[in-house]
Amino acid sequence: MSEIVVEIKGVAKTFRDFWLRPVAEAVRGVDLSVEKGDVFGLLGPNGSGKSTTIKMLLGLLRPSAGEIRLFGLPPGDCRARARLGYLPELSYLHPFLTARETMLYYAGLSRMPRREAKARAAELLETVGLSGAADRPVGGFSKGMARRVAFAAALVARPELLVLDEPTSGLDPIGTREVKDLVRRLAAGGMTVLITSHQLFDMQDICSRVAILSRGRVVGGGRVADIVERAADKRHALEDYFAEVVA
Amino acid sequence: MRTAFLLAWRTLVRGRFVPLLLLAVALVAVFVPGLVRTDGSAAGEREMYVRAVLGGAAVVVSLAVMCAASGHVAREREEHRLALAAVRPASAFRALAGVWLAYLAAAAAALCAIGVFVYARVPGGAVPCRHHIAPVMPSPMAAARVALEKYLADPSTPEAVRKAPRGVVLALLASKESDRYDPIPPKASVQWRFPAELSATTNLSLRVRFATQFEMRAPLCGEFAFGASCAVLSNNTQAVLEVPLSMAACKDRPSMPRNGDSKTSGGKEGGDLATAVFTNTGAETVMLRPRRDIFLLAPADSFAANLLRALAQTLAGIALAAAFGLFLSSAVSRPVAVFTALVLAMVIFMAPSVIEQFPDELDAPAGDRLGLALTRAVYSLTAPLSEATPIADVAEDRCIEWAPFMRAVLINGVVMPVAFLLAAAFVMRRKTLPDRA
Repeated sequence: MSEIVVEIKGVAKTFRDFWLRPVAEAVRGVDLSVEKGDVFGLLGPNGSGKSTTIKMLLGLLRPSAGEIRLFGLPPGDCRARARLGYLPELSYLHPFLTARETMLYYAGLSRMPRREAKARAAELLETVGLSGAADRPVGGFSKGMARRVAFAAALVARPELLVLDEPTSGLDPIGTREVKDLVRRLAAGGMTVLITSHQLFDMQDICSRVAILSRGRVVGGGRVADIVERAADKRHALEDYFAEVVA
Repeated sequence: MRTAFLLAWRTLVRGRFVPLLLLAVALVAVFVPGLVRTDGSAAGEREMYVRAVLGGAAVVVSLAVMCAASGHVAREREEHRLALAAVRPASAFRALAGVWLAYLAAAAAALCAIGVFVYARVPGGAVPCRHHIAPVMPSPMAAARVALEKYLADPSTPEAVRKAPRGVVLALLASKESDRYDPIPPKASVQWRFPAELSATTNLSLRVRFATQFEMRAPLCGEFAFGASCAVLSNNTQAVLEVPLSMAACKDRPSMPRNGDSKTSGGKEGGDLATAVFTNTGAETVMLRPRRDIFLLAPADSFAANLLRALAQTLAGIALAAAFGLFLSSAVSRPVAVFTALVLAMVIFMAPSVIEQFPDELDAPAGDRLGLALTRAVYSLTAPLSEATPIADVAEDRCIEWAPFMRAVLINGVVMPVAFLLAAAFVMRRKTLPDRA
């Protein structure tokens, strides 16, 4: 039996106002598990609770109920965080740092020794095709370049679990293809990847398993290969399945 | 910590905070000497450079650092970068300490620049500072207790005072105690006690300021004796007089009372005490506030050493302000944090004069009493910061004593910032996302 990397049991999240009155029930009893080596797609329409679930998984929000385990540890545990990489929906880089300094900053936060961090930064900037722009401030980068820096920063500490929130958002078709290729390469290397996206066609290409959220609940999911096998239109299998379960 | 420091420092430099801070300090250095008039003497020039230029620059640096620090964490949170850092296995306290050190480095750079400028420009920069030794007296609260007992024993004391809460009356009397005048009628003598070891010090001087009942200028004549040294005072009241004490002056005046030899052991403060005597030989009754108006001056160390201590103590105050700003910004949004920090800074600096100038508290309406109680609370909490006036001390050639200096640096520069940074780290871990996220 393979190792469970992410385990979410009966997790709910209710947002409250200043007076602790409930404002929105974003997640209502979600159960999920992601195994080592999975490329797991967390799909759902806007407002379905994907981002809230990811934020609880990362320890940025506390669940109102239920339990989350990352590598068998609570999400706030430093040992779990040391094995985690995260790419948010927007890049959120420090505009005054260069690409190389950005990498060294996140490597430093991950407690990587300076010498190793420098080598790793150079390697990753090469991987994402930014060696030539390594010493330019990222504030002047295009959206695609900034996205690649953020992707490299998420990988700098050699994470075992990579959480990607809309990784292809804002990228042109070539950039999207590069990201998909990179995710495939990482997965082939044994990394576990958890992705949220609206790009169902891309998700069908790269995910091994998916879960579909709607109104805070898991309404469908399973192995992508099984979904494709069952579908009449293989090319749009995930899209059709998504429309069916969400409707 | 190193990672966070480097990030914050690069942001401060490349985001133009440090260059603008240095520019602001340079503008103070260039324009303030042209705006502030002096009496033309070397001492006046020195005071202007220290008090106006260095003091002005210190205010600019303090406010700039506090405002910038008050927005720092909130800005990182609002721009979602805090969440990105929070998912890494880094200690929030260390990250905040790195940011705090970056602000401290920026403030230190600005203070060093203005410190070097002032030292280079001060005429006769080698004028040494002096210890200012006040008479040994019971604490204002102890004196207030004695005064209250006396009031209560007096049948003419108003009923309102008897019925008022004892704590309120004591606080009132204690605050009045530092402004209490001792009248000295013509031909009368008064005594104060100073540490006995001072009587063996050579090059002692007396700094004193006498007043009259109606704050009018009047002729002042008197004789002062301490140990084997004496001084003759002849000037006007209201003026700050500084006269050297010498044995020669005693020889000229054999009639002068010499109680300086009589040592008293102990006293509440411990150690041997020697008595100093002042005799009013003029025709007017004069008076002074023993806690504020009379000091013996003993030589201490150089102007440069005193200036360095003042800069270090100022930097410690800025360190506290920066740590408090970071704490505020970890808890609330940027505008709220900056506004709160500015209002609090105003309250801290205005609190002493509000407390001092407030009319009789016993007659005040409840709302005013509540406001005063709040101001007092803020004042008592922030007294280590607001009562420290290192730059004014340097301007007056007053030596910054090692014990209060070390205490201020340790409390303002280390203990309190660490406490605020720990609190900020605790809050930041729980509030990594912007409110709208």
